Amino acid sequence: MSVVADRPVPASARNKVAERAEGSGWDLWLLGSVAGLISMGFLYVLSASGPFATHAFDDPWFFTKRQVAGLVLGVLVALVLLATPWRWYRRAAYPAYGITVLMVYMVHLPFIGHAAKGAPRWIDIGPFNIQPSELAKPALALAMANYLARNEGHLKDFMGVVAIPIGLGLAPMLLGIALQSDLGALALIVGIVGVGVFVAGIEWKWLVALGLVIGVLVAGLVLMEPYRMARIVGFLDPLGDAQGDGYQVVQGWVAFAEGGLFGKGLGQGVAQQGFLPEAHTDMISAVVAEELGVFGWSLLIVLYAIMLWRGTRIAMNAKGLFEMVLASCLSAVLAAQVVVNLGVVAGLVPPKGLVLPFMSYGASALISHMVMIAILLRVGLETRRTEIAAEQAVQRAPARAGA
Amino acid sequence: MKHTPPDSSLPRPRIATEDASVVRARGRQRAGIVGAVLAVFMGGIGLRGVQLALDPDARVLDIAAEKRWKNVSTQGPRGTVLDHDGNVLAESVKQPAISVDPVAMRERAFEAVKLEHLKDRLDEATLKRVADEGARVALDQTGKDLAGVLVLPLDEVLSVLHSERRYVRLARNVHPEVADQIRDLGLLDKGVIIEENYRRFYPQGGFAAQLVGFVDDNGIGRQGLEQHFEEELAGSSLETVHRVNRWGSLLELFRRDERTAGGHAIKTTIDHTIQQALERSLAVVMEQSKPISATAVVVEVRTGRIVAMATGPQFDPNHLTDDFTNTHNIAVGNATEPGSVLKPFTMAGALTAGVVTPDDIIETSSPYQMYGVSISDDHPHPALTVSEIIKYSSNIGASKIAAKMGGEVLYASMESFGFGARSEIETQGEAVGVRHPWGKPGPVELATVSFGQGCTATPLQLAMATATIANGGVRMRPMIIDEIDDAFGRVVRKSEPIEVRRVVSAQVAAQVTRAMEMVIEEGGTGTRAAIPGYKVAGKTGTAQKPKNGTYSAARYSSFIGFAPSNDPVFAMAIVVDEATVGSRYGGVVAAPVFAEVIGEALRLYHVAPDPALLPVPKATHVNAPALAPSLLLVDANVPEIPAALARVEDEDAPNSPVRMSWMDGAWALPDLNGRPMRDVLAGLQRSGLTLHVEGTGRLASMDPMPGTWVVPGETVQLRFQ
Repeated sequence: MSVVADRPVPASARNKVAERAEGSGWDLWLLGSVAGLISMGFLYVLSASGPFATHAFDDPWFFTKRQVAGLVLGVLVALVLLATPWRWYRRAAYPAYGITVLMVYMVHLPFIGHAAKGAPRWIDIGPFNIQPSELAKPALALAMANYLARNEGHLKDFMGVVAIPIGLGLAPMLLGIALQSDLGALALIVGIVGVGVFVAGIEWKWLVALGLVIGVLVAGLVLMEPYRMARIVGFLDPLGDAQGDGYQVVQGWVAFAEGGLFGKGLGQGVAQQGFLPEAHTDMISAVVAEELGVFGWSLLIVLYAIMLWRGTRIAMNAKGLFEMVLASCLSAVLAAQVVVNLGVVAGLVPPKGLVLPFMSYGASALISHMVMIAILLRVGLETRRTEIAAEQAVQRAPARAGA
Repeated sequence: MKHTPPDSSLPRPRIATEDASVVRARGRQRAGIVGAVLAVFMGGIGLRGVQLALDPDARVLDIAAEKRWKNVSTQGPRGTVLDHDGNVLAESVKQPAISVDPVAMRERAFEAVKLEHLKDRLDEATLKRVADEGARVALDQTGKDLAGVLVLPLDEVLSVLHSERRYVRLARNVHPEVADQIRDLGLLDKGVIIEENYRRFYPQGGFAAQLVGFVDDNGIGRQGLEQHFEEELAGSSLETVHRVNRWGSLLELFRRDERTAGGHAIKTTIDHTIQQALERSLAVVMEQSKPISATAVVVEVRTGRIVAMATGPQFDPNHLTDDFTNTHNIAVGNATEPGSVLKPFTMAGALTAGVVTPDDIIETSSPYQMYGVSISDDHPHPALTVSEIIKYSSNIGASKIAAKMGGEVLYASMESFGFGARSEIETQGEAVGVRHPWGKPGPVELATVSFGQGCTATPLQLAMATATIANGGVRMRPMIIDEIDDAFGRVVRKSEPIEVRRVVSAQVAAQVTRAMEMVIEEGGTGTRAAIPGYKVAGKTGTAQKPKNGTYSAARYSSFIGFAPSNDPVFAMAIVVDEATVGSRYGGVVAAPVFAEVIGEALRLYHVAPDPALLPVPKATHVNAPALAPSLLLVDANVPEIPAALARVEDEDAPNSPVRMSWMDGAWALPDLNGRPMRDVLAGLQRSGLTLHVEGTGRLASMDPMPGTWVVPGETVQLRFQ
């Protein structure tokens, strides 16, 4: 850098693509990090699911094929979203939210409802299994942003604007997710709402109060169900019950230990050979740690950090409250998933069943996350468009003044 | 800040209590806070990951080492045992064994029970009960499947599966299809193990079975060559540690390219045809004389090569029972009192010591008395020459000769012939034989040993001592192994004939041979050993068999001999233990075996018969049968044979001698096409055939065709190119 700074570089020699992208509002950092994550995700779904897929379905590509199908679909949906006029987003916010609430309940319907591992979380439509709670995340972020933007400047009226309307709007969704006993998704939804009202300007005292209420609720839920308590205990000392509740986490740690600094090499991992439960879903980062070492695993975190940085930047630069809340919710929910997922792997967070965005197997989640990224990119583009419009207005104004 | 006008489709917001610029500045700040908090969390988790990877808990490392490894022992197949012609006498055939690890199977059955959906509804104790019951049902089903496929009693299989054992082999040597069925039933996933085992198979059944030996249940040689060459025959085994996945299969990822080699192939010196002839002949003895056993050894005189070694009754090593009485290799392992067959060696010792000459006359009219013991002959003669003592097998004569020699000389001579010492044959369980009493003999022992009582010898020792006489007095080491090859066919060892020592002079050997020839001649005890066309030397023996400390009526009937005695090729010893039907004389029971087996062996080896002893051919021919070879050189371009021979010699140095089959006074013409002139002429030279030779070089054609039977005197056209 210093060498470059010593000698002035002509503007023409600068990266024209980057300049053009900057000028047009495309966030190449965000795109790049997500592209990197998706590539690694493809590789690691294959590596982590291959042995089990071979064992269970006699086809090492079983999961990878489905993941690639989800990827293609996700790209198509993202392209459609990028081409959709921005006004339609706000219009579609409530209906989209409504539809996802309905879908959350459809998992209980006969024939199309589909349960796995004892939890009814999927809707079976032809060749696809849709997980409505995944789609609910961007829909809720849109609805929240829309609602909060419409009530911009009124959040001091906590009961009238925040607690009661949002509570009512949110109740059916929360109930539906709770019926799926998907605590992870529940926490994320609460998190989205929390980030939304925080950014939109809720007063600190109410925020603290809300935090306390949620804390008490969680404590109650945990104490109500003995198995949840066991999970917490298992989380606190997984090695104490390495063959029982602590098994999954300990096997993840084994993968870290086996991987060391630089890992065993791509495809050389053992964890996914049936030892590490959820190797291709929740625990996929442990597979990365074993094969590429903590070095490769840290690169993964760097990619997520870039994603968070750019997402936050887009939110901060956004011109309208709708865009600001929306971008903040989306980048926060993506980052929160990363934190919770990796936190579970690292033994810092109790097992939640949250996927690692763009890495874990699961087409619904992949599509949902790609939708979020597309919306984030779209917010960045809108911000730039507004800036350009403002610049043009400024350029025109002196001319008029001069005349 | 002005911005785009609100969407007309949205309801107009109420009057704000806060200004938009305040809200947005705060929002911007708070969005940053949200991002920063999450970034801090990410960083913390990153540090935790580094700790997990680089400074793992010791318990984690222990768990990493657990359950993921499996010792796999791979074993190369045991080597084959072959006869000299390359026929397989023993080989290892792949045949799987089925075994189980009951403890592991129970664990797996337990793991396989699906309980996730019940976890929230049932308490711990009920869950455990449900899991136990599920595992039991699954295990019982596996047991049912196994019992069905392996045709085992169900309760037996179930008791094994519910036991606390870690390894139980349910079935050995199952058909490969059974293994396939077990695979198809998915029993491998349930913890049933298919072991790739080898089963020892003896394709020739009882053929040379006592020599070859057999293996035990663990595939370890337990007798004969199988035991003696255990180290060479055993396949190399390789204990490798494999990583396995949780579903129990070896990880391809960690499978290394390991090769286990099969054991070495042991090629014996046993000639298939001669062995077969011998076994057939012994079977006849077994049938006719109903003895306990009949054993014989055939040795190639010049090399010490054992070409046949057999014992009747036979046993089938493929179907071993608990009765091992017939599996013993008597030929090397049973030292018995040899009887009169020892007399030629007494004579050889005496001749060597110079105490007698073959024509010295020994008075044999009255029993030889000493210390109250009287030694007499069954058919007394007033006086016999030393040679005649052999011919008529006079105990009195032999005792008197021994008396002249003295104990030390006699014993030293016997030991020199290999009695009372190991022959160093390479097989298991060789007996040494004893001189009795050990040490300095008294006069009675001296006398009895001279005719083969009061000492013991194995059939092999007798055969080797006989071969020593036949070989002009030079003892060869008995050779049972021709070649040992490794699993890749590379020769590890090739046996060469080994001269042990000169035992007696060629002159003494010739004198003893002459005496032994007299045994076969008219009036001798061994006339039934005569082979038409060949001169035979031999000695019969009929030894008293001790039972419960005293001699009984039971006899060992034996014969030793070699042929052709003028140029010996094979020597043989036969010992028949307790013939119960008919004669018990060695000359009657054992001598015919010699004639049959050695007769066939000589023909097989194309040993030309002595023209003087040939029977007159039956066929009448235009030309009178000319027994002397007549060689007509038709082609004038060949000036003289030696020049032609010199030329082919360089091209074709190592070529086996030409051998022809002789039967009932006729030759089978061998296929000699492509063979050099020298070999062809040398081979046919003594056949009594009239040869018409055309050209030089290698034989291009012959008329009549190879395989045609021709009688001596017939003309054979040979065209060389």
